[in-house]
Amino acid sequence: MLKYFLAIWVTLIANPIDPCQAAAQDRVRVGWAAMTASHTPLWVAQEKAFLAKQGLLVEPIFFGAGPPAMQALVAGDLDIVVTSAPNVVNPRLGGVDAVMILSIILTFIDHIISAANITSPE
Amino acid sequence: MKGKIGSVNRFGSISEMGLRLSLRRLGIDPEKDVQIVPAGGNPERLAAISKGIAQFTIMNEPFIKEAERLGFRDLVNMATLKIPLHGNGIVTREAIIKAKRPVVAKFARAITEAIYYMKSEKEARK
Repeated sequence: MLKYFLAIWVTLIANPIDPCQAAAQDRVRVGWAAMTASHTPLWVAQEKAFLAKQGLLVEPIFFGAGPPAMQALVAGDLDIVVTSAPNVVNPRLGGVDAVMILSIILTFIDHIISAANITSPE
Repeated sequence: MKGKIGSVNRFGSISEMGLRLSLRRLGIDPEKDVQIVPAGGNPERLAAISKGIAQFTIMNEPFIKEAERLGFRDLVNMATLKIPLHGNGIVTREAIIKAKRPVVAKFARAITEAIYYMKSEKEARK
């Protein structure tokens, strides 16, 4: 009997039950629209396990452009899309209940790139 | 840039909107002073400048570094123009919020934590 309890005790110590793993994770399908730095928070949240910390199992799906990702959202194939405001306005004007709940970038972070012989904007 | 051709992803895209707004901030009329053409994604627009189809375009990282490496000029950092815009964000549908509110809230919290981490951790900014 003592050996039996000792065996159970050793097993529990060697393989502790992780309460996080015991809880079911919520699956979330997230579309992202461009291979640009503005999507970095999504990748950081994934890499640093901030999403897992919230109990989310995220399936990121790359679309390459905002409009097809929004179409997938409207079709019910996605739960969330990471995209820019203009991609919300057009569907909204079309009657879709799209809404931006969190803004990541509050201005343009792009650059104007020119041929080398153009030295000033004018 | 006056009198030159600028390229964007496609008409109606945020790249066209950004370029037009930036040109106006710089004192250039995008309707009269330049011609704007659609050329596709970042790699395609870089190719368009290389071939002389366009003389300027709008670009973001990591393509800015690649453009400089190829000898193009980083002419304007549009962030300095401080044009207000929700350039990127978390988008969902009201129906999804009603059905899965806790999940959507958790996702927003995770992204907020990621943004905080990027702004506050020195290692994140390397």
